[in-house]
Amino acid sequence: MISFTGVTKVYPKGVSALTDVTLKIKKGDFVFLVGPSGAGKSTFVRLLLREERPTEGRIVVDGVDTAQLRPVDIPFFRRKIGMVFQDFRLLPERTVAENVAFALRVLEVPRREILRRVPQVLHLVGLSHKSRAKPAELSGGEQQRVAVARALVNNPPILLADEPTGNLDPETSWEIMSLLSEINQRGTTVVVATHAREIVDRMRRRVIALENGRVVRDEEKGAYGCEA
Amino acid sequence: MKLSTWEFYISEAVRSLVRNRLMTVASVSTVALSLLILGVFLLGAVNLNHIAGTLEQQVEVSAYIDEELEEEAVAEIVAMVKALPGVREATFVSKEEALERLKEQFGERQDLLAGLEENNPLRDALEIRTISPEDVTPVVAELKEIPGVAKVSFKEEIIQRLFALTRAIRIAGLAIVLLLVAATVFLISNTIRLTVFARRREIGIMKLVGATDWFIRWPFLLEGIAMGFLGSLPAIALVVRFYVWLTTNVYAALPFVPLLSPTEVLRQLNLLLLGLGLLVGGLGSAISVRRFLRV
Ligand SMILES: Nc1ncnc2c1ncn2[C@@H]1O[C@H](COP(=O)(O)OP(=O)(O)OP(=O)(O)O)[C@@H](O)[C@H]1O
Ligand SMILES: [Mg+2]
Repeated sequence: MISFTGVTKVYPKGVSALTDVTLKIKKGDFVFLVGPSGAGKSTFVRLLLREERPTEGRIVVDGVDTAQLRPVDIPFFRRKIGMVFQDFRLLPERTVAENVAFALRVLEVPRREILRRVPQVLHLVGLSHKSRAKPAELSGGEQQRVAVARALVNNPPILLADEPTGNLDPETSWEIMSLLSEINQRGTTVVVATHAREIVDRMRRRVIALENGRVVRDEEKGAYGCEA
Repeated sequence: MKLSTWEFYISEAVRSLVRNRLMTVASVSTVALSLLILGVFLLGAVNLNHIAGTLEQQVEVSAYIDEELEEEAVAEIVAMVKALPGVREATFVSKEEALERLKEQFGERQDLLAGLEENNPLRDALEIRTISPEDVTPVVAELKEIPGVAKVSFKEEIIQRLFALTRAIRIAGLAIVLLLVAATVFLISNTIRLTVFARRREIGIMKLVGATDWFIRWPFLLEGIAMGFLGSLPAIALVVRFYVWLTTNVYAALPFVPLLSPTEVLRQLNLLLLGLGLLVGGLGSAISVRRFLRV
């Protein structure tokens, strides 16, 4: 589903964020991407989204070599990846349902289809009863569930989360991670960049550890690791 | 493109226009003011052009003939004038004919001329057209030498001045119009820049979920075009009112000034103002969309 081959990313100012990263993530995998601050996790995410291009190496996502993408192809490429951020990125003046529907409206999905899918996905994340609330009326965990619903509503094969629990307390974080795990169980490939050590240790999933831009560990049923 | 897509664009554009209503009002007013000034200038230019053209078609040189002269003497003068170098055409116009013409020019306000038949103040004249405008001065000099010619007048100078004035107005008008258009485009692009900024969250999310570039751009372009459209409406209304008022008054007070009638000019002018409003709005937003909407 995702393959990095010898990927190096050097930012314009000479900062080398990723160095010679080679890894494969199979369809249906659940992967934690861990590592200390500045290790290159967000860079990994941006490369996957094709917000940045690798300085060297090849990235293939769902059969698409990202180097071959023309600018006009990028939007269609991004539809393969549902994205969740630490800061939720919801539209404050729109309701929960509108926020989720927004992602479909901008893809020109027919209205009838939107009316069908939005309640479904809100049900999946357990927010059916809040569909008319505005983001400000929700807890952090609930807001992140809305963001997850929005990422999923178009049924992307990949769900990518960059520190999805960074702003949440441990209990809520656990709920969100469980939700992501549940989504993975339904067949979506999930990649989570995170600092949440306890959760990673508890979930026993595949862990890819980055340090100074290099993959230092890649274990099935791994743990966060001793250092960092 | 689906209908629901256009609904989305329009609702986003309206949302944004309302959210930034102060800037919207400022931009729309600028568009209106610019187009109004442009409209007035254009009306001035086409009318001056028309007046100059009308005058040019009229006689270039008139030689008024002594009233006491006999018919044979008049015929002799006509023959002499026709033989002058530089003269293309010379026609005798009796004072009765001259009065008839004047009546025609006055049109509905002929009453102003009532009673002139009995006491015709006009004179018999020779209307002379020269081969080229440069011939006017020598021909005038020759005419003055002919005995029996009481007075010579020519309009060349006034026509030249009118044309010069038209040219000046056109150039000044063009400069002012370009300036106004540039200012308007700038203001609209600035407004759109602010709305792009105000909506950067939406834009970020749209990009993230895979909206196409044009899908993201269209609401902003529509917003600019809408501002241009909204500005052109009051401009058109005011230009129409102004011109109808002007022509009504001029036709009444100065019937011999050949202003174009409102029906002759306003339809084209309105279309032009409308088109220009849309263009200015579209251009302004396009500039900002290009510069600030990195998609
Ligand atoms: N746009 C950029 N321009 C230049 N350098 C950058 C840029 N983005 C990131 N970097 C640098 O690249 C390195 C990796 O950054 P990255 O954001 O990928 O780390 P991270 O693992 O996500 O860290 P954190 O856990 O703090 O979010 C850092 O040294 C950072 O300063
Ligand atoms: Mg990061």
